[in-house]
Amino acid sequence: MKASAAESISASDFSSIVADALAALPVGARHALAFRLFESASASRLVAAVAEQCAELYTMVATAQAVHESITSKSVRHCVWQRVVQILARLAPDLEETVLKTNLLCGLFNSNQLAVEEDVDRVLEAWERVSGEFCLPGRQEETSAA
Amino acid sequence: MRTQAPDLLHNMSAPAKTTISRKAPAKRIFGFGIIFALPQQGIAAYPSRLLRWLGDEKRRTAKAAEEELRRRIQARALELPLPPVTAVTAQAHEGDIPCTDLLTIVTVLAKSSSRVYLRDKEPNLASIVTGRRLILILPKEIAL
Repeated sequence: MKASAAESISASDFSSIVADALAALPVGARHALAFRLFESASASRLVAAVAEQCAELYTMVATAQAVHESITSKSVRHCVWQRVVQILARLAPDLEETVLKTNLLCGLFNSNQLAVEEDVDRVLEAWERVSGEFCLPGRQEETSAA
Repeated sequence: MRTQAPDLLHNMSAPAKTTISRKAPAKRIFGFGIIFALPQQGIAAYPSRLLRWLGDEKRRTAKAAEEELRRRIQARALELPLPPVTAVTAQAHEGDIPCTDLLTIVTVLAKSSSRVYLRDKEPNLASIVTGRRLILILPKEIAL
């Protein structure tokens, strides 16, 4: 993420770094990276293919996700959903961060990317780790710098 | 005559089903959306007809009309106060704002895939299709 602050890096080099990071990071962490890129002005430095990849991850987090499914009681999938509900119930409902985490977990559940209960904790942990790790230049800061 | 009911009653191997449900909020909580879609009636998405709808009555060959439309799209894209890279979704929410300016709609449709709007990409005229609708998700800090 430090790469985004370095203006000397070309768009293609910056995109390569982001593409490598997306490939290396676990689920949750890569969503956090994509989200921060789109929230800052840094996404504008991405080449089309990487921007497309980031946009898909960003959209999942930024868009409200509905869940409606008939599942077998006490199945692994049911336990995963119960874990999602349990974790989300602990979060403060009014925070923007809670909305993002809810969208992330529901989106991943819908796309079958949460295989076991532990994945729910792992995803949130990865999201929090990457979200807390970096701070990108905001849109307003970038505009005033220009 | 046998019916299915007695068999079903004694069939204890059928696993119990449960329905899980979570309603998404009707309004977009995070950021805001702008809806881009060509008006349903009357617009055929051919360059010459689109130009006519944009108020250009000049007669042109098909190639010249395509070039003129591309030129207008590129010029409009640079004027738009949108970020150069913006996420796209098909899911509209209550409170999303419909765009009514035809040239802006054409510009966004031509420069968007199903996932992302790219201001600097070459316009794809084939993606200007009646019935295609997309929503740009913009962070709240963007003041249009």
